[in-house]
Amino acid sequence: MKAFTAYSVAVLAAMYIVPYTLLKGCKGVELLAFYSLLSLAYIVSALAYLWRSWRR
Amino acid sequence: MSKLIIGLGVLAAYIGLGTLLAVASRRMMKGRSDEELYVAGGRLGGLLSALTYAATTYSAFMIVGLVGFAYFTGAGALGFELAYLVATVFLLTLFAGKVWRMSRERRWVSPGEMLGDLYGSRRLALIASTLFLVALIPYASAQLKGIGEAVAGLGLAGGSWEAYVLGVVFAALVIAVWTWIAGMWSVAVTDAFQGLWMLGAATGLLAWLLWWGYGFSAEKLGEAIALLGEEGLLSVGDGFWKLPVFIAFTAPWIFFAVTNPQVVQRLYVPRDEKALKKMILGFTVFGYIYTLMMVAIGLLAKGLTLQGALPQAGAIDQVTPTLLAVAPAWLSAVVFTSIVAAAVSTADSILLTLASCASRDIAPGRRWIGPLALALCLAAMTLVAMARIGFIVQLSVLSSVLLLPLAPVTIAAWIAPSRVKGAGPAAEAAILAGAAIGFAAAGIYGAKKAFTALILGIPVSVWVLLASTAIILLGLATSKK
Repeated sequence: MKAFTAYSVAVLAAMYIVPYTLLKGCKGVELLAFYSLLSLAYIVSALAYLWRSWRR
Repeated sequence: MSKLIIGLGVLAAYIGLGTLLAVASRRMMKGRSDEELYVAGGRLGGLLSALTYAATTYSAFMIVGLVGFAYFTGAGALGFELAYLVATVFLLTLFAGKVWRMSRERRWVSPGEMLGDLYGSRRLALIASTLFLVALIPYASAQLKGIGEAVAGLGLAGGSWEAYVLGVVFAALVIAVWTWIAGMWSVAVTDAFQGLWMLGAATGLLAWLLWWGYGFSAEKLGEAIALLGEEGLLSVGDGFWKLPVFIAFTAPWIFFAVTNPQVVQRLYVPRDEKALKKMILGFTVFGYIYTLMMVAIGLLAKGLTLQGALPQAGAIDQVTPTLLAVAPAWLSAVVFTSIVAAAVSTADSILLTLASCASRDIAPGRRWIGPLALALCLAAMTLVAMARIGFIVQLSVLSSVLLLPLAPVTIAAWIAPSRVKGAGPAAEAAILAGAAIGFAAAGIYGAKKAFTALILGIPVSVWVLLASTAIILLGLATSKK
Protein backbone atom coordinates (compact mmCIF):
# COMPACT_ATOMS: atom_id res chain seq x y z
CA MET A 1 0.00 0.00 0.00
CA LYS A 2 2.82 2.39 0.85
CA ALA A 3 4.59 1.64 -2.43
CA PHE A 4 1.36 2.16 -4.37
CA THR A 5 0.75 5.46 -2.58
CA ALA A 6 4.29 6.68 -3.32
CA TYR A 7 3.91 5.62 -6.95
CA SER A 8 0.56 7.41 -7.26
CA VAL A 9 1.88 10.61 -5.70
CA ALA A 10 4.85 10.50 -8.08
CA VAL A 11 2.53 10.18 -11.09
CA LEU A 12 0.39 13.08 -9.88
CA ALA A 13 3.50 15.17 -9.21
CA ALA A 14 4.69 14.44 -12.74
CA MET A 15 1.42 15.84 -14.08
CA TYR A 16 2.24 19.12 -12.36
CA ILE A 17 6.00 19.30 -12.96
CA VAL A 18 6.74 17.90 -16.43
CA PRO A 19 4.40 20.19 -18.43
CA TYR A 20 5.97 23.26 -16.81
CA THR A 21 9.58 22.14 -17.27
CA LEU A 22 10.39 19.54 -19.93
CA LEU A 23 7.33 20.28 -22.09
CA LYS A 24 7.15 24.05 -21.58
CA GLY A 25 6.57 25.88 -24.84
CA CYS A 26 5.96 22.78 -26.97
CA LYS A 27 3.97 23.42 -30.15
CA GLY A 28 3.00 19.89 -31.16
CA VAL A 29 0.93 17.18 -29.53
CA GLU A 30 3.60 16.28 -26.96
CA LEU A 31 1.72 17.68 -23.97
CA LEU A 32 -1.59 16.12 -25.01
CA ALA A 33 0.20 12.79 -25.49
CA PHE A 34 1.95 13.13 -22.14
CA TYR A 35 -1.23 13.77 -20.18
CA SER A 36 -3.25 11.06 -21.91
CA LEU A 37 -0.59 8.32 -21.97
CA LEU A 38 0.62 8.90 -18.42
CA SER A 39 -2.98 8.82 -17.17
CA LEU A 40 -3.75 5.69 -19.16
CA ALA A 41 -0.65 3.92 -17.87
CA TYR A 42 -1.50 4.89 -14.32
CA ILE A 43 -5.14 3.83 -14.62
CA VAL A 44 -4.17 0.41 -15.99
CA SER A 45 -1.62 -0.15 -13.24
CA ALA A 46 -3.96 1.08 -10.48
CA LEU A 47 -6.77 -1.19 -11.64
CA ALA A 48 -4.35 -4.12 -11.80
CA TYR A 49 -3.31 -3.32 -8.22
CA LEU A 50 -6.95 -3.05 -7.19
CA TRP A 51 -7.78 -6.48 -8.57
CA ARG A 52 -4.74 -8.09 -6.95
CA SER A 53 -4.97 -6.38 -3.57
CA TRP A 54 -8.68 -7.03 -3.06
CA ARG A 55 -8.58 -10.66 -4.18
CA ARG A 56 -9.53 -13.01 -1.37
CA MET B 1 -38.44 25.37 -37.32
CA SER B 2 -37.61 21.76 -38.20
CA LYS B 3 -34.56 21.97 -35.95
CA LEU B 4 -36.78 23.06 -33.10
CA ILE B 5 -39.25 20.23 -33.72
CA ILE B 6 -36.48 17.62 -33.92
CA GLY B 7 -34.91 19.04 -30.77
CA LEU B 8 -38.16 18.92 -28.85
CA GLY B 9 -38.94 15.46 -30.21
CA VAL B 10 -35.61 14.01 -29.04
CA LEU B 11 -35.98 15.76 -25.71
CA ALA B 12 -39.48 14.36 -25.29
CA ALA B 13 -38.20 10.86 -26.12
CA TYR B 14 -35.44 11.27 -23.51
CA ILE B 15 -37.88 12.42 -20.84
CA GLY B 16 -40.41 9.72 -21.74
CA LEU B 17 -37.87 6.92 -21.70
CA GLY B 18 -36.22 8.22 -18.55
CA THR B 19 -39.55 8.47 -16.76
CA LEU B 20 -40.53 4.95 -17.86
CA LEU B 21 -37.22 3.63 -16.49
CA ALA B 22 -37.70 5.57 -13.26
CA VAL B 23 -41.19 4.13 -12.82
CA ALA B 24 -39.95 0.62 -13.66
CA SER B 25 -37.20 0.96 -11.06
CA ARG B 26 -39.86 1.12 -8.33
CA ARG B 27 -40.24 -2.65 -8.65
CA MET B 28 -36.72 -3.04 -7.26
CA MET B 29 -37.57 -1.04 -4.15
CA LYS B 30 -38.41 -2.82 -0.92
CA GLY B 31 -40.40 -0.19 0.93
CA ARG B 32 -39.45 3.45 1.41
CA SER B 33 -37.02 3.24 4.31
CA ASP B 34 -34.07 5.64 4.39
CA GLU B 35 -31.75 2.81 3.28
CA GLU B 36 -33.93 2.09 0.24
CA LEU B 37 -34.54 5.73 -0.67
CA TYR B 38 -31.00 7.02 -0.31
CA VAL B 39 -28.63 4.07 -0.92
CA ALA B 40 -30.89 1.57 -2.73
CA GLY B 41 -30.62 -0.84 0.20
CA GLY B 42 -26.98 -1.44 -0.80
CA ARG B 43 -28.14 -3.76 -3.58
CA LEU B 44 -26.94 -2.14 -6.82
CA GLY B 45 -25.07 -4.23 -9.37
CA GLY B 46 -21.64 -3.29 -10.74
CA LEU B 47 -22.76 -1.78 -14.05
CA LEU B 48 -25.53 0.30 -12.52
CA SER B 49 -23.16 1.47 -9.76
CA ALA B 50 -20.49 2.40 -12.33
CA LEU B 51 -22.86 4.36 -14.51
CA THR B 52 -24.49 6.23 -11.64
CA TYR B 53 -21.05 7.09 -10.25
CA ALA B 54 -19.95 8.35 -13.67
CA ALA B 55 -23.15 10.23 -14.51
CA THR B 56 -23.19 11.84 -11.06
CA THR B 57 -19.55 12.88 -11.34
CA TYR B 58 -19.56 14.05 -14.95
CA SER B 59 -21.93 16.95 -15.09
CA ALA B 60 -22.89 19.58 -17.65
CA PHE B 61 -19.50 21.06 -16.82
CA MET B 62 -17.89 18.52 -19.14
CA ILE B 63 -19.85 19.12 -22.34
CA VAL B 64 -20.35 22.84 -21.71
CA GLY B 65 -17.42 23.91 -19.50
CA LEU B 66 -14.57 21.58 -20.41
CA VAL B 67 -15.19 21.84 -24.15
CA GLY B 68 -15.12 25.62 -23.74
CA PHE B 69 -12.03 25.50 -21.58
CA ALA B 70 -10.16 23.38 -24.13
CA TYR B 71 -11.27 25.80 -26.85
CA PHE B 72 -10.10 28.93 -25.01
CA THR B 73 -7.20 27.69 -22.87
CA GLY B 74 -5.87 24.65 -24.72
CA ALA B 75 -4.11 21.49 -23.54
CA GLY B 76 -3.98 22.51 -19.87
CA ALA B 77 -7.70 21.69 -19.71
CA LEU B 78 -6.82 18.05 -20.40
CA GLY B 79 -4.23 18.04 -17.60
CA PHE B 80 -6.72 19.63 -15.23
CA GLU B 81 -9.39 17.01 -15.86
CA LEU B 82 -7.04 14.00 -16.02
CA ALA B 83 -5.35 15.06 -12.77
CA TYR B 84 -8.81 14.72 -11.22
CA LEU B 85 -9.29 11.27 -12.75
CA VAL B 86 -5.86 9.97 -11.71
CA ALA B 87 -6.37 11.24 -8.15
CA THR B 88 -9.85 9.71 -8.00
CA VAL B 89 -8.66 6.31 -9.21
CA PHE B 90 -5.92 6.50 -6.57
CA LEU B 91 -8.36 7.37 -3.77
CA LEU B 92 -10.90 4.75 -4.83
CA THR B 93 -8.24 2.05 -5.14
CA LEU B 94 -6.93 2.87 -1.71
CA PHE B 95 -10.14 3.44 0.25
CA ALA B 96 -13.28 2.25 -1.55
CA GLY B 97 -13.11 -1.34 -0.28
CA LYS B 98 -12.58 -0.28 3.32
CA VAL B 99 -15.34 2.34 3.20
CA TRP B 100 -17.76 -0.09 1.57
CA ARG B 101 -17.12 -2.71 4.29
CA MET B 102 -17.52 -0.16 7.09
CA SER B 103 -20.75 1.14 5.52
CA ARG B 104 -22.13 -2.42 5.72
CA GLU B 105 -21.08 -2.95 9.30
CA ARG B 106 -22.23 0.46 10.54
CA ARG B 107 -25.25 0.93 8.24
CA TRP B 108 -24.32 4.39 6.98
CA VAL B 109 -26.77 6.19 4.76
CA SER B 110 -25.46 9.76 4.59
CA PRO B 111 -21.82 10.90 4.38
CA GLY B 112 -22.38 13.20 7.35
CA GLU B 113 -23.54 10.20 9.34
CA MET B 114 -20.31 8.42 8.35
CA LEU B 115 -18.14 11.23 9.73
CA GLY B 116 -20.25 11.54 12.87
CA ASP B 117 -19.96 7.80 13.49
CA LEU B 118 -16.22 7.60 12.85
CA TYR B 119 -15.39 10.59 15.04
CA GLY B 120 -18.06 9.79 17.64
CA SER B 121 -19.68 13.21 17.26
CA ARG B 122 -23.30 13.93 16.34
CA ARG B 123 -22.40 17.61 16.07
CA LEU B 124 -19.81 16.80 13.40
CA ALA B 125 -22.48 15.06 11.33
CA LEU B 126 -24.67 18.14 11.67
CA ILE B 127 -21.86 20.54 10.70
CA ALA B 128 -20.79 18.44 7.72
CA SER B 129 -24.33 18.04 6.44
CA THR B 130 -25.05 21.74 6.83
CA LEU B 131 -21.91 22.52 4.83
CA PHE B 132 -23.04 20.07 2.13
CA LEU B 133 -26.36 21.88 1.91
CA VAL B 134 -24.74 25.31 1.60
CA ALA B 135 -21.85 24.39 -0.69
CA LEU B 136 -23.68 22.19 -3.14
CA ILE B 137 -26.37 24.68 -4.07
CA PRO B 138 -24.01 26.57 -6.46
CA TYR B 139 -22.79 23.29 -7.93
CA ALA B 140 -26.30 22.03 -8.56
CA SER B 141 -27.30 25.49 -9.84
CA ALA B 142 -24.48 25.26 -12.37
CA GLN B 143 -26.20 22.20 -13.80
CA LEU B 144 -29.45 24.08 -14.31
CA LYS B 145 -27.53 27.00 -15.76
CA GLY B 146 -25.91 24.63 -18.25
CA ILE B 147 -29.33 23.54 -19.44
CA GLY B 148 -30.57 27.13 -19.59
CA GLU B 149 -27.57 28.21 -21.69
CA ALA B 150 -28.00 25.23 -23.99
CA VAL B 151 -31.67 26.05 -24.56
CA ALA B 152 -30.81 29.69 -25.23
CA GLY B 153 -27.99 28.64 -27.61
CA LEU B 154 -30.16 26.19 -29.52
CA GLY B 155 -32.33 29.00 -30.76
CA LEU B 156 -35.47 28.12 -28.83
CA ALA B 157 -37.56 31.27 -28.45
CA GLY B 158 -34.83 33.19 -30.25
CA GLY B 159 -32.14 32.44 -27.67
CA SER B 160 -33.79 34.93 -25.34
CA TRP B 161 -33.89 35.29 -21.58
CA GLU B 162 -37.26 33.55 -21.67
CA ALA B 163 -35.67 30.53 -23.35
CA TYR B 164 -33.01 30.42 -20.64
CA VAL B 165 -35.63 30.50 -17.86
CA LEU B 166 -37.70 27.88 -19.66
CA GLY B 167 -34.67 25.57 -19.74
CA VAL B 168 -33.93 26.07 -16.04
CA VAL B 169 -37.52 25.48 -14.90
CA PHE B 170 -38.00 22.48 -17.16
CA ALA B 171 -34.83 20.86 -15.79
CA ALA B 172 -35.91 21.48 -12.22
CA LEU B 173 -39.19 19.69 -12.91
CA VAL B 174 -37.50 16.64 -14.43
CA ILE B 175 -35.09 16.47 -11.49
CA ALA B 176 -37.95 16.66 -8.99
CA VAL B 177 -39.93 13.87 -10.66
CA TRP B 178 -37.03 11.46 -11.23
CA THR B 179 -35.76 11.90 -7.69
CA TRP B 180 -39.18 11.46 -6.13
CA ILE B 181 -40.33 8.33 -7.98
CA ALA B 182 -38.03 5.80 -6.32
CA GLY B 183 -35.18 7.68 -4.65
CA MET B 184 -31.75 6.17 -5.33
CA TRP B 185 -33.29 3.42 -7.48
CA SER B 186 -34.82 5.82 -9.98
CA VAL B 187 -31.79 8.10 -9.80
CA ALA B 188 -29.38 5.22 -10.47
CA VAL B 189 -31.42 3.73 -13.31
CA THR B 190 -31.93 7.09 -15.02
CA ASP B 191 -28.25 7.89 -14.39
CA ALA B 192 -27.27 4.72 -16.26
CA PHE B 193 -29.53 5.66 -19.15
CA GLN B 194 -28.21 9.23 -19.15
CA GLY B 195 -24.58 8.15 -18.86
CA LEU B 196 -24.93 6.02 -21.98
CA TRP B 197 -26.69 8.88 -23.74
CA MET B 198 -23.82 11.24 -22.81
CA LEU B 199 -21.20 8.84 -24.19
CA GLY B 200 -23.19 8.25 -27.37
CA ALA B 201 -23.76 11.95 -27.97
CA ALA B 202 -20.09 12.80 -27.38
CA THR B 203 -19.03 10.08 -29.81
CA GLY B 204 -21.47 11.41 -32.41
CA LEU B 205 -20.34 15.02 -31.99
CA LEU B 206 -16.67 14.11 -32.22
CA ALA B 207 -17.20 11.92 -35.28
CA TRP B 208 -19.26 14.63 -36.98
CA LEU B 209 -16.63 17.28 -36.18
CA LEU B 210 -13.88 15.11 -37.68
CA TRP B 211 -16.00 14.49 -40.78
CA TRP B 212 -17.57 17.91 -41.28
CA GLY B 213 -14.60 20.02 -40.25
CA TYR B 214 -11.67 17.89 -41.27
CA GLY B 215 -13.00 15.32 -43.75
CA PHE B 216 -11.16 12.66 -41.70
CA SER B 217 -8.00 14.10 -43.25
CA ALA B 218 -4.75 13.72 -41.31
CA GLU B 219 -3.34 16.61 -43.32
CA LYS B 220 -6.10 18.98 -42.20
CA LEU B 221 -5.71 17.81 -38.64
CA GLY B 222 -2.00 18.52 -38.89
CA GLU B 223 -2.74 22.06 -40.09
CA ALA B 224 -5.09 22.61 -37.13
CA ILE B 225 -2.47 21.32 -34.69
CA ALA B 226 0.09 23.69 -36.19
CA LEU B 227 -2.32 26.63 -35.75
CA LEU B 228 -3.14 25.59 -32.18
CA GLY B 229 0.59 25.35 -31.45
CA GLU B 230 1.22 28.82 -32.87
CA GLU B 231 -1.55 30.18 -30.64
CA GLY B 232 0.20 28.65 -27.61
CA LEU B 233 -2.74 26.33 -26.93
CA LEU B 234 -0.70 23.12 -26.89
CA SER B 235 1.50 24.05 -23.96
CA VAL B 236 1.06 25.45 -20.47
CA GLY B 237 2.90 28.07 -18.46
CA ASP B 238 2.59 31.20 -20.58
CA GLY B 239 -1.14 31.53 -21.24
CA PHE B 240 -4.07 30.84 -18.95
CA TRP B 241 -2.59 27.76 -17.33
CA LYS B 242 0.17 29.29 -15.26
CA LEU B 243 1.27 26.88 -12.51
CA PRO B 244 -0.55 28.62 -9.62
CA VAL B 245 -3.75 28.64 -11.70
CA PHE B 246 -3.34 24.95 -12.54
CA ILE B 247 -2.83 24.18 -8.83
CA ALA B 248 -5.79 26.38 -7.86
CA PHE B 249 -8.07 24.58 -10.30
CA THR B 250 -6.90 21.05 -9.57
CA ALA B 251 -6.51 21.17 -5.76
CA PRO B 252 -10.27 21.02 -5.07
CA TRP B 253 -10.93 18.54 -7.86
CA ILE B 254 -8.33 15.94 -6.92
CA PHE B 255 -10.16 15.47 -3.61
CA PHE B 256 -13.62 15.46 -5.21
CA ALA B 257 -14.15 11.73 -4.53
CA VAL B 258 -13.64 12.34 -0.81
CA THR B 259 -15.28 15.71 -0.28
CA ASN B 260 -18.44 15.54 -2.38
CA PRO B 261 -21.18 13.65 -0.52
CA GLN B 262 -23.05 12.56 -3.65
CA VAL B 263 -20.06 10.45 -4.77
CA VAL B 264 -19.00 9.33 -1.28
CA GLN B 265 -22.53 7.99 -0.80
CA ARG B 266 -22.14 5.90 -3.95
CA LEU B 267 -19.49 3.84 -2.16
CA TYR B 268 -22.31 2.43 0.00
CA VAL B 269 -24.55 1.22 -2.84
CA PRO B 270 -22.81 -1.77 -4.59
CA ARG B 271 -24.28 -5.11 -3.50
CA ASP B 272 -20.90 -6.84 -2.98
CA GLU B 273 -17.17 -6.31 -3.43
CA LYS B 274 -17.30 -7.63 -6.98
CA ALA B 275 -19.87 -4.97 -7.85
CA LEU B 276 -17.71 -2.36 -6.13
CA LYS B 277 -14.70 -3.33 -8.27
CA LYS B 278 -16.84 -3.20 -11.39
CA MET B 279 -18.05 0.23 -10.32
CA ILE B 280 -14.49 1.55 -10.11
CA LEU B 281 -13.46 -0.09 -13.39
CA GLY B 282 -16.56 1.11 -15.25
CA PHE B 283 -16.34 4.65 -13.91
CA THR B 284 -12.64 4.89 -14.78
CA VAL B 285 -13.10 3.69 -18.35
CA PHE B 286 -16.08 6.03 -18.78
CA GLY B 287 -14.17 8.97 -17.31
CA TYR B 288 -11.05 8.51 -19.38
CA ILE B 289 -12.88 8.16 -22.69
CA TYR B 290 -15.33 10.96 -21.95
CA THR B 291 -12.57 13.36 -20.88
CA LEU B 292 -10.50 12.74 -24.00
CA MET B 293 -13.55 13.25 -26.20
CA MET B 294 -14.55 16.53 -24.54
CA VAL B 295 -11.06 18.03 -24.84
CA ALA B 296 -10.72 16.79 -28.42
CA ILE B 297 -14.04 18.43 -29.35
CA GLY B 298 -12.91 21.74 -27.83
CA LEU B 299 -9.51 21.71 -29.53
CA LEU B 300 -10.90 20.58 -32.89
CA ALA B 301 -13.52 23.33 -32.74
CA LYS B 302 -10.80 25.87 -31.98
CA GLY B 303 -8.78 24.55 -34.92
CA LEU B 304 -11.76 25.20 -37.18
CA THR B 305 -12.20 28.71 -35.79
CA LEU B 306 -8.52 29.47 -36.45
CA GLN B 307 -9.00 28.22 -40.02
CA GLY B 308 -12.07 30.44 -40.40
CA ALA B 309 -14.45 27.51 -40.76
CA LEU B 310 -16.34 28.05 -37.48
CA PRO B 311 -17.48 31.32 -35.90
CA GLN B 312 -15.51 32.47 -32.86
CA ALA B 313 -17.37 31.54 -29.67
CA GLY B 314 -18.02 34.50 -27.40
CA ALA B 315 -17.40 32.83 -24.05
CA ILE B 316 -16.47 29.50 -22.49
CA ASP B 317 -20.13 28.53 -22.03
CA GLN B 318 -20.90 29.37 -25.64
CA VAL B 319 -18.54 26.99 -27.45
CA THR B 320 -20.85 23.97 -27.41
CA PRO B 321 -23.91 26.04 -28.39
CA THR B 322 -21.84 27.50 -31.27
CA LEU B 323 -21.12 23.95 -32.46
CA LEU B 324 -24.76 22.94 -32.05
CA ALA B 325 -25.83 25.90 -34.17
CA VAL B 326 -23.94 24.52 -37.19
CA ALA B 327 -24.40 20.79 -36.52
CA PRO B 328 -27.16 18.78 -38.26
CA ALA B 329 -30.52 19.08 -36.54
CA TRP B 330 -30.60 15.47 -35.30
CA LEU B 331 -27.09 15.65 -33.84
CA SER B 332 -27.74 19.02 -32.31
CA ALA B 333 -30.84 17.59 -30.64
CA VAL B 334 -29.01 14.51 -29.32
CA VAL B 335 -26.09 16.56 -27.97
CA PHE B 336 -28.40 19.18 -26.51
CA THR B 337 -30.28 16.39 -24.76
CA SER B 338 -26.97 14.97 -23.50
CA ILE B 339 -26.29 18.34 -21.84
CA VAL B 340 -29.65 18.06 -20.15
CA ALA B 341 -28.88 14.44 -19.21
CA ALA B 342 -25.47 15.32 -17.75
CA ALA B 343 -26.94 18.14 -15.72
CA VAL B 344 -30.00 16.24 -14.53
CA SER B 345 -28.00 13.15 -13.55
CA THR B 346 -25.67 15.23 -11.39
CA ALA B 347 -28.30 17.50 -9.90
CA ASP B 348 -30.77 14.77 -8.92
CA SER B 349 -27.98 12.83 -7.21
CA ILE B 350 -26.98 15.92 -5.26
CA LEU B 351 -30.58 16.59 -4.29
CA LEU B 352 -31.10 13.06 -3.05
CA THR B 353 -27.87 13.18 -1.06
CA LEU B 354 -28.82 16.51 0.49
CA ALA B 355 -32.21 15.10 1.43
CA SER B 356 -30.47 12.14 3.10
CA CYS B 357 -28.21 14.52 5.02
CA ALA B 358 -31.22 16.49 6.20
CA SER B 359 -33.19 13.45 7.34
CA ARG B 360 -30.29 11.53 8.92
CA ASP B 361 -28.11 14.31 10.37
CA ILE B 362 -30.00 17.58 10.63
CA ALA B 363 -33.38 16.39 11.90
CA PRO B 364 -33.15 12.62 12.43
CA GLY B 365 -36.36 10.75 13.06
CA ARG B 366 -38.56 13.24 11.21
CA ARG B 367 -39.52 11.67 7.89
CA TRP B 368 -40.94 14.91 6.47
CA ILE B 369 -37.58 16.68 6.64
CA GLY B 370 -36.12 14.78 3.66
CA PRO B 371 -38.84 15.78 1.17
CA LEU B 372 -38.89 19.31 2.59
CA ALA B 373 -35.11 19.67 2.19
CA LEU B 374 -35.42 18.30 -1.32
CA ALA B 375 -38.05 20.90 -2.25
CA LEU B 376 -36.19 23.80 -0.63
CA CYS B 377 -32.84 22.86 -2.21
CA LEU B 378 -34.44 22.52 -5.61
CA ALA B 379 -36.08 25.93 -5.23
CA ALA B 380 -32.78 27.50 -4.12
CA MET B 381 -30.76 26.05 -6.99
CA THR B 382 -33.41 27.15 -9.49
CA LEU B 383 -33.29 30.71 -8.16
CA VAL B 384 -29.46 30.81 -8.17
CA ALA B 385 -29.44 29.48 -11.72
CA MET B 386 -31.90 32.19 -12.78
CA ALA B 387 -29.46 34.84 -11.49
CA ARG B 388 -27.20 33.64 -14.36
CA ILE B 389 -24.00 34.53 -12.50
CA GLY B 390 -20.41 33.56 -13.31
CA PHE B 391 -19.65 30.75 -15.66
CA ILE B 392 -20.25 27.15 -15.08
CA VAL B 393 -16.79 25.87 -14.18
CA GLN B 394 -16.25 28.52 -11.55
CA LEU B 395 -19.50 27.76 -9.81
CA SER B 396 -18.62 24.08 -9.82
CA VAL B 397 -15.11 24.56 -8.52
CA LEU B 398 -16.24 27.01 -5.83
CA SER B 399 -18.37 24.24 -4.32
CA SER B 400 -15.34 22.00 -4.21
CA VAL B 401 -13.31 24.74 -2.49
CA LEU B 402 -15.96 25.06 0.20
CA LEU B 403 -16.01 21.29 0.68
CA LEU B 404 -12.23 20.95 0.61
CA PRO B 405 -11.73 21.01 4.41
CA LEU B 406 -13.59 17.71 4.50
CA ALA B 407 -10.70 16.05 2.65
CA PRO B 408 -8.17 15.74 5.51
CA VAL B 409 -10.95 15.02 8.01
CA THR B 410 -12.39 12.20 5.89
CA ILE B 411 -9.07 10.73 4.80
CA ALA B 412 -7.78 10.65 8.39
CA ALA B 413 -10.92 8.76 9.43
CA TRP B 414 -10.64 6.31 6.55
CA ILE B 415 -6.97 5.61 7.25
CA ALA B 416 -7.33 5.10 10.99
CA PRO B 417 -10.96 4.80 12.12
CA SER B 418 -10.00 3.73 15.61
CA ARG B 419 -7.57 6.62 16.07
CA VAL B 420 -10.04 9.39 15.21
CA LYS B 421 -12.74 8.30 17.66
CA GLY B 422 -13.03 11.13 20.15
CA ALA B 423 -11.37 13.70 17.88
CA GLY B 424 -14.71 15.19 16.91
CA PRO B 425 -13.94 18.72 18.16
CA ALA B 426 -10.76 18.83 16.06
CA ALA B 427 -12.66 17.63 12.99
CA GLU B 428 -15.36 20.22 13.57
CA ALA B 429 -12.74 22.98 13.96
CA ALA B 430 -10.93 21.80 10.81
CA ILE B 431 -14.11 21.88 8.73
CA LEU B 432 -15.29 25.22 10.10
CA ALA B 433 -11.87 26.88 9.70
CA GLY B 434 -11.43 25.64 6.14
CA ALA B 435 -14.95 26.60 5.15
CA ALA B 436 -14.48 30.03 6.77
CA ILE B 437 -11.41 30.64 4.60
CA GLY B 438 -13.38 29.58 1.53
CA PHE B 439 -16.35 31.80 2.40
CA ALA B 440 -14.06 34.73 3.27
CA ALA B 441 -12.27 34.39 -0.06
CA ALA B 442 -15.62 34.24 -1.87
CA GLY B 443 -16.70 37.36 0.04
CA ILE B 444 -13.50 39.28 -0.67
CA TYR B 445 -12.77 38.25 -4.25
CA GLY B 446 -16.27 37.20 -5.34
CA ALA B 447 -17.37 33.70 -6.29
CA LYS B 448 -15.82 34.14 -9.72
CA LYS B 449 -12.25 34.73 -8.55
CA ALA B 450 -12.19 33.06 -5.15
CA PHE B 451 -10.42 29.91 -6.27
CA THR B 452 -7.89 31.54 -8.58
CA ALA B 453 -6.98 34.28 -6.09
CA LEU B 454 -3.50 33.98 -4.58
CA ILE B 455 -2.67 34.82 -0.96
CA LEU B 456 1.10 35.14 -0.49
CA GLY B 457 1.45 33.45 -3.87
CA ILE B 458 -0.58 30.41 -2.82
CA PRO B 459 -4.11 29.65 -4.10
CA VAL B 460 -7.00 29.94 -1.65
CA SER B 461 -7.84 26.25 -2.12
CA VAL B 462 -4.37 25.27 -0.90
CA TRP B 463 -4.75 27.52 2.16
CA VAL B 464 -8.05 25.80 2.92
CA LEU B 465 -6.37 22.42 2.67
CA LEU B 466 -3.34 23.45 4.74
CA ALA B 467 -5.45 24.97 7.52
CA SER B 468 -7.83 22.04 7.86
CA THR B 469 -4.99 19.49 7.63
CA ALA B 470 -2.99 21.28 10.33
CA ILE B 471 -5.99 21.45 12.67
CA ILE B 472 -6.97 17.81 12.28
CA LEU B 473 -3.38 16.61 12.71
CA LEU B 474 -2.96 18.76 15.78
CA GLY B 475 -6.25 17.48 17.16
CA LEU B 476 -5.28 13.85 16.57
CA ALA B 477 -1.88 14.39 18.17
CA THR B 478 -3.51 16.00 21.21
CA SER B 479 -6.23 13.39 21.59
CA LYS B 480 -3.58 10.66 21.47
CA LYS B 481 -1.89 12.17 24.52
